[in-house]
This record gives sequence, C-alpha cells and structure tokens, in this order.
Amino acid sequence: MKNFFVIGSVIAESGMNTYILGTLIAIYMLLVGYLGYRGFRKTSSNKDYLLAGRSVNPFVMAMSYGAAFISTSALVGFGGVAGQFGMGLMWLVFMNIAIGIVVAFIFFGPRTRRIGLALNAHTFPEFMGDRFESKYLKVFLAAIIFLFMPLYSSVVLIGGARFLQEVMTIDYGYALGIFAVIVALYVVFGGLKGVMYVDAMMGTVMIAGMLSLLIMCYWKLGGVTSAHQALTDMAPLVAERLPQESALGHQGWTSMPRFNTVWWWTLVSSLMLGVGIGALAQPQLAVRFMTVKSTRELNRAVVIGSVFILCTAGAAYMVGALSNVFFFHADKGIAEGISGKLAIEAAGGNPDLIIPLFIRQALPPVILYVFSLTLLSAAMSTLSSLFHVTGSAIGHDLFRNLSKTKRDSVSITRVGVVFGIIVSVILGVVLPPGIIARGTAIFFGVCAAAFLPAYWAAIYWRGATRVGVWLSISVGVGSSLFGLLFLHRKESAALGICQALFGKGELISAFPWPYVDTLVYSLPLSVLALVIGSRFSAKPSKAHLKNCFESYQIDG
Amino acid sequence: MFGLGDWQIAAALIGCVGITLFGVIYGSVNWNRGSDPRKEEASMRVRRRARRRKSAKERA
Repeated sequence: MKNFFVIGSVIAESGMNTYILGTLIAIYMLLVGYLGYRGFRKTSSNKDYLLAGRSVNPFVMAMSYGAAFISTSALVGFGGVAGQFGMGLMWLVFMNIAIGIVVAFIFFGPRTRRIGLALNAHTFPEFMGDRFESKYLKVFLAAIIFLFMPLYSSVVLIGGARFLQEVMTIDYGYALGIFAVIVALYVVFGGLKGVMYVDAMMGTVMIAGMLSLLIMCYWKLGGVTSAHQALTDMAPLVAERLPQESALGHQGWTSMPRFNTVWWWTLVSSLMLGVGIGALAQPQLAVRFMTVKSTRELNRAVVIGSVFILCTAGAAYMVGALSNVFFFHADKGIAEGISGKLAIEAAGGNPDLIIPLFIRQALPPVILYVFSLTLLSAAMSTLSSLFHVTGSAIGHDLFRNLSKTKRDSVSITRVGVVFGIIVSVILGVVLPPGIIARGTAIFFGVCAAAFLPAYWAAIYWRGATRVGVWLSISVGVGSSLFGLLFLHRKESAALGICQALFGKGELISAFPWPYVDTLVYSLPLSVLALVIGSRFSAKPSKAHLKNCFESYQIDG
Repeated sequence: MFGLGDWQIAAALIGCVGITLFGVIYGSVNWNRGSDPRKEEASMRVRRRARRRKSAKERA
C-alpha cells in the first residue's frame, strides 16, 4: 500500500499532464460504467448474477480470468523483484501459463463446468459442498473466503486509491471513495456479467500497455540479443555492488540463483510452487470455469489465456530485469541524470519503484499514460473479482445456509456483496498495513494447501469421501497456519506469536527451513490426509457419483 | 543463447514461448471440439423436469 503511494508519486512527478490523464481516466470510467450497465441489464436471475448466465464467450472468459489472476503487484511488484534479482522469475511466468492456464483450462475447467452444471452449483463453496454432500463444508469454505478474502481486497483497494490520489492529485479520502464506489457499482449491480465484461476491457488495456512497454524497452536497448548480452555482461557487478543480494544467491540478472541459497528457495518454493500451483485453487478463478456455455469455449480460451499471461507477466519481468542495462549505461547518453546505477540503486532500494522509474526515465509520456491505465486496470479487475467472490460467499453460501430461509434471490447476494465491500473498506482503514500484507500471504498459503487436493478429488476421484475431504482441508489449513506462525521466517517474525511463546523467531532455524514455503510440506500432508481419510470412511452413494460424473459427458 | 548467461534462464524463456505456443496450437486444433451447448440444454431441461417431478412426489 505504501509502495503504491510512492509509485503514484513517481508517475505524478514525471510531468504528465493531469488534464490529459484525467480525461483518459474519465473516458475509461465511462466505458467501465457502460459495460457494468450492460451486465446489469442482462442480469435477472441468480445464475446471471453468480455465473454470468453460464453463457460467456471464450474471449471474455479468458481475459477476465487473466485480469483477475494478474494484479498490480504481479506487474509492478514482481517486475521490480526481477529488476533486483533477474530473469529467474521467468520460471514463474512459465508456471503461470503451464499450470494457471494450460492445466487449469484443459484438465480442471471442463470437469468443473460439467460437475457444476450437474449439481447446479453457483459458487466454489456450493460446488464443493454439493459434490461431497456436506452443507457444513459449504459453510466452512464460505467462512474461509469471508474471513480472509477481505484482507486481500483491502490491500488492492487502498493501493488503487493511493495511486489515484497521487496521479490525479486529489485528496486520499475522495480517491478511496471514488475507487470503492466505482468498483462497487458495477460489481453490485452488474454481477459477474458486469465484472467479466469490464475485466475483458481491462485485460485488453493490460496487454496493450505491457506489450508496448516491452517493445519500447527492447527498441531503447538496441534489440533482443544485444539487450540480453549487455545484461549478461553486468553479472560481475552483483558481487561488487550488491553484496547483500550476492550473499542471498544472486549471480547475475541472466543467471539462476546459486542452488540451495535463500533466493533459490524463495524463487523455487514460494514463487514457482506457491504462486504457480496456488493459482489452481483460487475460488475467484475456479468459478470462471462454470461461466462458459460449453467446453468448446474453454478450449478456445486456452489460446487467449496463454498469450495474455505471456504478454503481461512475461513483459513485466523482462522489462524489470532489462531496466538494469538502461540505468547502468546512462553515462552513454541513454538517460540524463542517472549514471552508472543498477536498477535497485536508482530506485533507492525499493524494488516496487523500478518499473515506474524506468518508464518515467526511458520511455515517451504516451507510454506513461497507457501504463497508468494498465495499473488501474490490474487493480480494478482483481478487486472486482474478489468483491464478487466474497459477496457471493456471504450472501449465497453463508446467509442461505445458516438462516432457515430457502429463498435464493439476486437481492440477497447483492446485499452480501455490499456487506463484503464494506468489510473490506473498514479493514483497509482500521488494520495496519503489515497485518494486511501478512493476512494476504496467509490466505494464499491456506487456499492452496486447503483447497487444491479437495478440489482435484472433487473432479477426478470418485473414491474421495466427505471425511477424507474434511480431513484434507483441516490438515491443509492446520499445517499451513502452523508453518506460517512457527516456521516460515517472513510471517512468523512479523506475527510475533512464535517469539512470544518460545522466545525465538522460528522453531527451526536450520537452513533452509525458515525460507521454505509452507506449501512444500502442507500440500503433500493435505493429499495424504485425503487419501487416508477416504480409504477408511464410507463411500458416497453410486447415484450421487453417477449424477456428478455421468450427467454430462466430456467430449472435448 | 539470445545473449543469456545461463542455460536455465534460456530454458525458462524457451519454456514460456513453448508453452504459449502449445496453448495456441491446442486451442486452435480444438477450436470447435467440445460439448454441444444445445444437447446440454436439452439434457438440462429433462433433468430439471425429473427433479421437479421428484420433489412433487416427495411433497405428495
């Protein structure tokens, strides 16, 4: 959040014309309003509101999935990390495309859609609860979403408001209000149709912004191979100028970190596995598989989704790493004012500033305008999806199942969405940023370990039982929380519970344990619990399995 | 390769482009393959009717 504020300042200081940017943002918001209104006009039932009528076309579905997947922190935050540590992050792009798109759309999508249709499920908790015939599982999953998702939403919300405050030079309160109200309006009234239409537009802006950034970057640095070669030649500077990063395993921006070092473990366990695999079990992404009208649309969406991730995340990480060449060769006349600095030095030690600083220094102002809209798109598209999934968990899953009412109306879900948005805004104002950031990390860790094995079993394993799934989710949540509170240094040190109870920052200080992502052990434990629990408990009825797996044949 | 200092980074870049190409080719080859929405809609109607009949019977 603080970094978003600084990014906004960097962009605002670039001499961008506020009136031009204001006009662009106004046109942009009008388009958002129009698409949200279209969603509203086409929404009459809960199926429309929660699943966009199950009739979304592949372009909208893939762009919406991608735009919800890639947030501002993925572009600017990880782009900056690539500026600091180099192109090793391209493995994350590979995992995002391979797992987050190809595996998700080809292996998870069709079965999720088919079983969701057979069960008439509208949300992720409802899908899981109905598949395993457990009302309490539905409530439990909805409660997890309700408890943790607003933390993540509040980070994105406040980040977007800070950005708007800085680039538009308006009061923070107004910026927060405007940002929250605009997103709330099209989520509350437009439902998932409004969200997905707007996401598709924003995804297009993101592709255009990031692609133009990458092309301009290579053009500025003299072409692909010469830019890479110049970055490779800078490798000896790591030991000389960045001793801390060198000690962490950094060997150069076009080399992988040294094996079994802090940075290697962070890259492989937290980024490649944690973020790469974790995306499969995100409720706001999984629900999108149920929005298309046939599996044919999912096949078509693979094309758009893979290109989207390559053009957005791939471009951000390449530009981040290559910005070092630009900043270092400034004395050759590429940029006046900054001479012979590495990207992280030019950004004053804050990796989040590398990409905005590079754009401000190296590229024409028009790219800055496009980039501002790209950042706004990334924030709004992620936020709207989070608001929608939180609201549907509250209104559709929690309220209906906990109260005696059988009524299932769009109004109840809308009230749930409004409530979710209010909670996110209050959390964002009340909680300190450190807690919010840690809460987000906990949510992602818990999500992957708790949901993934159960979700896989729901669509692939007829032998999985309710007891097995409960055990798997409990072990996944428990081991993730244990790892975050007592083993993984980043979280355990920030939360301070381990320190208070045992007088030390983490229980196992021996390398590499403080740096190993919780997913590495919590996911296998969760799988093991699923297998053991399912092996020794009563199997689901044949009629139910037939309904789930044989109602609609997969023929593509 | 491509001015990169490490085969693992070159592999990552080739992997990114390769998996994107795979996605594009897979999607293009299977562009018109998949479930038929009309058949599914008809099947859904039958199921809905059966469900309604079942719940009416239960009520009776």
